[in-house]
Amino acid sequence: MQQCDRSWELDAVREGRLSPSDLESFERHRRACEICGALAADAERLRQVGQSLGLGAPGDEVRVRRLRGRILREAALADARSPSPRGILLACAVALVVLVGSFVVWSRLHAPQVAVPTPRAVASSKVEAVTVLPGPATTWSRRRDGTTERVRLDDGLLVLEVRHQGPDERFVVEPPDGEIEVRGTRFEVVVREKATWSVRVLEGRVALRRGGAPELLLGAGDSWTSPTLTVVAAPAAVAAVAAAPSTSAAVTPRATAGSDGLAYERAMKLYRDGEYEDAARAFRSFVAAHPQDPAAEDASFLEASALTQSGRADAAALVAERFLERYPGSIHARDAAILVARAARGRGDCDAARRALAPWSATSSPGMSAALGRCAP
Amino acid sequence: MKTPSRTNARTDAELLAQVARGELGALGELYDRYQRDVWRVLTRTMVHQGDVEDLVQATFLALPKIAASFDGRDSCRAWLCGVAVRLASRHRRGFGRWLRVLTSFGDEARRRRVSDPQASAVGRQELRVLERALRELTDKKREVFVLVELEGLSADDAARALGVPAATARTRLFHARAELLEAMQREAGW
Repeated sequence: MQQCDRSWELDAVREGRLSPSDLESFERHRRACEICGALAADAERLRQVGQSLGLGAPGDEVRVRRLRGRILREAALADARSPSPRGILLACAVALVVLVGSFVVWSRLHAPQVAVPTPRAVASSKVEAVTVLPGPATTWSRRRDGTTERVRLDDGLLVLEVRHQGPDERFVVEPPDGEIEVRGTRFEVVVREKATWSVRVLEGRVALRRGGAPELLLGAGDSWTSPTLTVVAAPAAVAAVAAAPSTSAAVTPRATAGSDGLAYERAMKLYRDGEYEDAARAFRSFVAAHPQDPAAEDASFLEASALTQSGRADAAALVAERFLERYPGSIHARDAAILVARAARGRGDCDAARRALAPWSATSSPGMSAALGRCAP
Repeated sequence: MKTPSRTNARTDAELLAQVARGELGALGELYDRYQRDVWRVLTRTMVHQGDVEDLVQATFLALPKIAASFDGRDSCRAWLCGVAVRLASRHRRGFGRWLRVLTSFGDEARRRRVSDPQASAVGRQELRVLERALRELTDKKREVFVLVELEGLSADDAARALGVPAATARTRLFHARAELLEAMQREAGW
């Protein structure tokens, strides 16, 4: 590649690093210098071809939203795991007080003493061994009963991370209709209408005990969904679930063997191709035929999204409301609420629009502000 | 690439300060603003497709720890792209991954040939040659080229993002451009 003494100034011009007089001087030079002219043209051409690299990523909106949820969840867990600077200072202060106290007691009694942690200190260290992440509008409480830590979940979604329990310790989640016992695990529980709606285990094992049903052990990657959910399924699906033994049929690994990946892909393709009416129908059929499939959650949300895209805001809002009832802790929940709010605003019902977004009022986003528009408080 | 207009919205610096304090809503907002930029810069620096998602995640998950190092300018896009590129560079050092990059050589161009209408607009041959030539650049030269020429950062910003002196970034850019042009002249008939 041929170079001219002043070729370096091409970049300086682009970056605005030349003074007006230098710029004028270089422009005069460039008009006369074939090498600089050619270099500038080649660099521009290279830039233009290069602009086509990596376009279109990441493509799949659902994937983007899923990744968002995963990042926030991981960040929350990491935050809970790492002690804050204030926590470290507090711990140092407590350690210092204990040390000084121990020394004073020892020196008074002239005998070596060992600082024994008080029951309260044990309890508080236990509290730090458990991370509870509630979903929006979740009703829950937590208490310690001797060596047993209990989290009561009345409604909504909880993601829990429990470090390994000691031999005489227990950690129990209490939904209204039973209990879930764990020994060092990461899992999520959803309760709706005073009953356990679903349990999904990310790490470790949990024991689910519901009413009079036998204990059900769930391992990492397993999920359990209430059989009562099948009321919204197509008749064939209801019959299939009803015919199966209740406990074993309800436990489904993350990648369901019975899932109809092709039907979902077809619906996705229609969506990507902009055939939104057909896509909405295809997603609805998929959810009706496979209500237990892990992809049903995405499909249900995408039906609402496709209806919005096809200009049917009210129909989209109905589907989004149904979605929110069924998946209150979904990563799409906020977006579904935005669809509901947008339709309500379109009808002039500002109260309903604000109500729809109320659970997320603490985490406002441009999408939420746009959905409320003139209805914003 | 322009930063999206955000009237009455929190600035990037404010959001990063909140992220540093552990506010997850701010992290979500930064993700919404910049996930596409991060995704694209990682794809362009030739991270294996299967690893891009993990690296996007790693980039945003790193923010709570490093947010305090942001210099407070209007947009954190350049800084964030630099974080992503540096993470990718560290990630790429594994031999297995390098092998995978080699075996997937040309995959991008083939995929784009059937699916990306923009590729045909600029010429499939040119794109394929450029992609291959980019792969053949050293990581250091490729990173500067992508940040400056494709992502629109100034050489100073790219240098800051990559943690190298500005003169080093300019030298790498000069050599990257020369090698790419030579490949285009040799193989694409420029």
